[in-house]
Amino acid sequence: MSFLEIKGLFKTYRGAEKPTLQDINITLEEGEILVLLGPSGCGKTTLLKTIAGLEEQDSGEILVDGGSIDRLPTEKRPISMVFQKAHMFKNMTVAKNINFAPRVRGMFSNREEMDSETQKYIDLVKLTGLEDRMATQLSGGQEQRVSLARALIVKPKLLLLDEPLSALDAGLRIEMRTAVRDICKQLGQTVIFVTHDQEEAMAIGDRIAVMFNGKIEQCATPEVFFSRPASKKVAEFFGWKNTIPCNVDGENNISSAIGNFKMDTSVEPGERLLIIRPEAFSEDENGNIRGAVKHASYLGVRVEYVIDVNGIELNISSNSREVKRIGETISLNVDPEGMWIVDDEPEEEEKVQSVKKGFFSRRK
Amino acid sequence: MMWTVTRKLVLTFTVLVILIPIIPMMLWSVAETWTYPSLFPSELSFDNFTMLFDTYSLGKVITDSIIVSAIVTIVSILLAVMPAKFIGTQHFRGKIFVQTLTMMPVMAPAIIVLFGLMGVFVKMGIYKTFLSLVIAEAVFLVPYAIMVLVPIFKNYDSGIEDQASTLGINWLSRLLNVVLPNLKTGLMVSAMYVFMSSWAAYLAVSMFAPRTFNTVASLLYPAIYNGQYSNGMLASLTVLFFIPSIAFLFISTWIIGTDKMNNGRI
Ligand SMILES: Nc1ncnc2c1ncn2[C@@H]1O[C@H](COP(=O)(O)OP(=O)(O)OP(=O)(O)O)[C@@H](O)[C@H]1O
Ligand SMILES: [Mg+2]
Repeated sequence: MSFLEIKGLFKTYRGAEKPTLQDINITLEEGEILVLLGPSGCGKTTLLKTIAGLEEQDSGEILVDGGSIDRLPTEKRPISMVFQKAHMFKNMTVAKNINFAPRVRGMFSNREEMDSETQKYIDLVKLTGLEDRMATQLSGGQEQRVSLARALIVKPKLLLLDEPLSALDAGLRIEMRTAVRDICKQLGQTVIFVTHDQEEAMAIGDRIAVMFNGKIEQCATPEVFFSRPASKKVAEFFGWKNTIPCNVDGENNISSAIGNFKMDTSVEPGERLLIIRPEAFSEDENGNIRGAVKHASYLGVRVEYVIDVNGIELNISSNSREVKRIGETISLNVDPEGMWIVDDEPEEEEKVQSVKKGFFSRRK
Repeated sequence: MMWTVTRKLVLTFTVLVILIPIIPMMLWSVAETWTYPSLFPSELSFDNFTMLFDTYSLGKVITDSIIVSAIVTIVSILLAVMPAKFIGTQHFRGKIFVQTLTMMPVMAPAIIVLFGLMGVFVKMGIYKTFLSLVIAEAVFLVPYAIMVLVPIFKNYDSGIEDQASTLGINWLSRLLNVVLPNLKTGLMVSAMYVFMSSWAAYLAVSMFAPRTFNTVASLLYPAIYNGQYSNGMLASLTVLFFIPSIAFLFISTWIIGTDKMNNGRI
């Protein structure tokens, strides 16, 4: 039995036409960090709130450390949560924000213990020296660190972090994500970390669960998403670009408009989609994929081409010195490591479109 | 340099504007003799006050006034908090309509509402009781209390309560340590408004107060119109009228002033 088990969780908001969470199943071991990754509006916050007891599930159960928590009110659950927006207790100093909860819960046996514990967590999140600042006088990054310390000091069995770094600028974000991972690992903290940033997910997670439209599409270790994404949608989220209809014959032969390949797959024979990472292509005089350059973007260290191969557009990232011009022919080889076969799923086209739009507008 | 001079001028001007009407009144209240053309009273005494206290049991009147206004304030704020929170934090259709509805009692002419209430109180058998007085005043003041509190709740971040409960803090600590400190300023401002309005209320008192019951306002207004008092006595009554309001103002400003979370700003 796992440390955290979520079984068949459904959640429908009042007045909504369809469930926001649909059959969520997650297991998590003690001390493990799971990243929940998905576009804006896919239900990440809703899932965390349901685990925390701030929203009620329609059905399904949640077990922590072997015990069901479904009937416990939020304040009785052994879970703390850091919200997307840092909610400071504005009438308190940094130190009081951090030790407020354990203080009123009677977790300290005396003043010395309170002071030393508070200091320990202040140092842990690198806020040393700011103990007596009022919570209203902090920067966004400092607020987030107070939130983190405040959630950790109550020693929850499970820590829920809802995009805790989204308010920070790029530099601080990268610095903080390493810090968050280190701190949680150091404390052996079990964590669910929400983000819509693929890079952040890779940097922090022991495992990543990718969520679309209220469903978990794939849950695996970070490398898997680079070699074997479960679907086209997941692949696109992780930077896979080219989707080419193909036929798989059951003897590892793949035939498509851009050529025929041999690849070790265990998929059933039939019509499938071949996906290829842009950086899997390499320029090669003798390469057997040939096409005309339609667009080229020069990005310094590499060039991104869109080329036309037998009526199919391919996105290619090349680091060759020699730059091709529009109209020129380019010959390519492809590294089988950067290729994968997924099912040709009938898409809920409209929804995917709007989800993507939301995703990109959030990242600007 | 320029700034400090300007600031001093503005400050002096403000103080003068506030004090000019009050100073003669305060002087009148303690003047024994004050005849034209002297600028200040020639003799001072507290005779006006002693006379007032001799004529009425003024100590009781003041205590009664404070009690009525305090109770009306507590009742009105308690009744206003939930609707204000609802209007301020929830999004629903017809919100403007509901908000307008809460203002109905103060949009109709007061006298009509009061006569309506009178009918109800007579039927209930509480006409001219302390209870009827409190209800009547609250009917007029709850709408204003709601009006003041709605924007406060609009800016109120209710996520702070969720944050507190996920840290394992129970509802009582949440209320005392998280919710109230966040709403302190708004609650004080609306309490201040309700208290002062209740303190100055005349019509409701004259209609619904028990027969022997008087508030400072219900003594002061007829006294002004009847003209049966000397200027000195009127002035001292007015000074008495002002004191509790000013005291309340100072206390609440002081409470708001200790509000570190807004750095003392309202
Ligand atoms: N209180 C609510 N009532 C009704 N619908 C809601 C409520 N909260 C969220 N939703 C809807 O549920 C869906 C999922 O919302 P949620 O906040 O869980 O998304 P998210 O994945 O956290 O997105 P983001 O990355 O933008 O934070 C959205 O379509 C949203 O509009
Ligand atoms: Mg969210």
